[in-house]
Amino acid sequence: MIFTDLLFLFLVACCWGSFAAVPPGRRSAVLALWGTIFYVAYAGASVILVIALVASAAFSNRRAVAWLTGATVCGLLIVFKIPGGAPWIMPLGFSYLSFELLHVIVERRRGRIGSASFVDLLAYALFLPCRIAGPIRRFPEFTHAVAEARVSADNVYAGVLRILIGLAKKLVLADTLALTTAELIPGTVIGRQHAWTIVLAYAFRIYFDFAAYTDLAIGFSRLLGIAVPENFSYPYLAVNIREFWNRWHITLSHWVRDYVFVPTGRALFGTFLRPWPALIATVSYLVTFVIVGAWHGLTAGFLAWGAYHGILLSAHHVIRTKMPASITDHAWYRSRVASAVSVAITFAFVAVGWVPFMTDFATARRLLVVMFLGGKS
Amino acid sequence: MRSRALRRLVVALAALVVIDLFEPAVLRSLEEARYEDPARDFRFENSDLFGLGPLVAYLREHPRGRQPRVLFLGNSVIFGYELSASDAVPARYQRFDGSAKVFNAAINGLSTASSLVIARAAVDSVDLTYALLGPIEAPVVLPILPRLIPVDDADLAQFHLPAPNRIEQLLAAPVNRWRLYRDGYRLQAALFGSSTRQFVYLHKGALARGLIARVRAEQPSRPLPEETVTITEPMADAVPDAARQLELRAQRPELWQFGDLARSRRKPIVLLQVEGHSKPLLTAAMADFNRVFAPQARVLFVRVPPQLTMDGMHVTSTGAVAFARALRDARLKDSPR
Repeated sequence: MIFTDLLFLFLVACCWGSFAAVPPGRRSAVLALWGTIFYVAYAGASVILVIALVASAAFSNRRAVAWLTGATVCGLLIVFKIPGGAPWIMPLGFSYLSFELLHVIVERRRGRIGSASFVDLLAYALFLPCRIAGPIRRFPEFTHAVAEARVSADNVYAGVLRILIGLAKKLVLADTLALTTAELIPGTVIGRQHAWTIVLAYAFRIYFDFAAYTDLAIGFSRLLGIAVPENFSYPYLAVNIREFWNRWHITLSHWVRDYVFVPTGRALFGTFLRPWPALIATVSYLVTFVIVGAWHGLTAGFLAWGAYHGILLSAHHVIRTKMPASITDHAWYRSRVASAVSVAITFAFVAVGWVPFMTDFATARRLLVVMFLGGKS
Repeated sequence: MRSRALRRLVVALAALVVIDLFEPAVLRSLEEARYEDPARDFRFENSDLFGLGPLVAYLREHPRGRQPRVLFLGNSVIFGYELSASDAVPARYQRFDGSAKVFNAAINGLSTASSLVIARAAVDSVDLTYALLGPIEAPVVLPILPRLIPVDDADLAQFHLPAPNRIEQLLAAPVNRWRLYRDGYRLQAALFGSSTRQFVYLHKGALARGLIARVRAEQPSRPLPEETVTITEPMADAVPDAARQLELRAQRPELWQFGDLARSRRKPIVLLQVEGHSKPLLTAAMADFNRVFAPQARVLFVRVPPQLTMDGMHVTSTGAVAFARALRDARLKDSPR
């Protein structure tokens, strides 16, 4: 884990010292400098490509540059996401970086980001706490956070606490649960209970693992006094799948909502589908979540996971809009018992959805059979 | 608010400093209990590598134990595939030789070359080393070994191992003054025999019931069958000439490097050539090797009857007793110590 490397900690310490020492106007330059050093140290082979993309994004107020840069970022993301699709390894954190650059390009074209200097963009793109595993930030909020940043004992204390929480989640919870999930070896799953144990362990492992990375990113950012967005908000306590996606990987959910779901829905409203809004929502959810699946990797498992969530969200949308008022207005509908049951049902659906995500497609199919029909896998 | 945060940071730092003062005593006590007590069977939990670095570090720091030390290296045959730690060959050997502290440092799938690299790091701190010759003697060493134990430059080059990161080493030097950080792995290995998470994983059922799992009870040994483990030590009549030695060295470089290691460090190393498991070695080659290196290094030819194995390769609990007894008998006959 890069976050616990002495080199990473040394770079953060250097960045912290420089950030605290320079006047506010130079802070972006400091972040850009240490971000570049960090990227050279950990992904030196990709640094030129990444800096070129950032430079290109800096000029994306021009239509041709915007299209070219956007297409290049999308193309690279697709190539890197195909297993064995590229002869070289994906640049560090490129999944997150690509969505952040696309956000800049789109918003510059929309005029919502007025001026963005190369240094500001480099500081944003290579901000070292968030370059490893997100969260996906928005440029205006980030520049505002940098301008408002205050290096103080309060922030150091809060940052260290958040880092310790992240380390506990990762090293104690996630990595221990990972040993149980590692029992998923074809031919060794010995029954229904074993299969469910592995899947439940994975459900909590992936949450603690990913939430830990977010805690670490937020904690290290907080050391500098920079606020970055939260990514998780007790997702397994969601009462429905829609709420789940407002609590799970929040920055990704919001990104795809803004740049895939809403534009897709808007475009479909201009077609012959206009009289059928439920169908438009269904198609939009499916398109959006297949893209979410593909963002994790262009494999059958990730695509199936994305499509599964698209179907769940569509079903939830249809049920919610068609549900008679006599039911939704009933007192028990909003009771604690109903909420607890909803949480359990939502969690069960999400947990089953992790099966194609956690392993290859053939193993996932066999595991699902054991989970629901018993036997051995 | 500012002063409160500062105060908490200072208190946390002071607490770490105070804890660090007691760390060496705690570590010493835990390690002595794990590595010196002959009543405790030593084996890496679940055959994971985590405990290797701490074990080697302890042995190198304490080159003389309370009892003579016997180190077993090898793969699942020595580790004790499907056997509890107390039923594996090294633990059975310890029962026969109560005066020694036996370390079962075998790891499933460990190659002969990896055993050689581990032996180089630990041989000065043990009195006798048994190393199983594996089925494949390709010069393949676990790439993680240089991060766990000291590996000299010649081995790094010979086995194409990644050298330790110099920047990390440079940065680690000042940080290692914080003993709790430096000895984190050793503390865990001394406490749990493995990493904390591996311990929790392996004992989660017992932990959930509020109990600490104990070492499994020793399985009752069946009476040994008539056909038992036999050990022979081929010995040539005369030292082979230089050309023959060169030829043999080229054929089995790892084997001969074990011989060089035993001779240069003046520490006995016994290599176990198990029939049907180790890569075949001609009796004449064994005999020549033994003539060149005995008494420091020797190859013993071990024959395990199929009825004492589970699958033709891994010994049963009874087979482990027979194996250990045969080793003991071979040692008594002509002790290399």
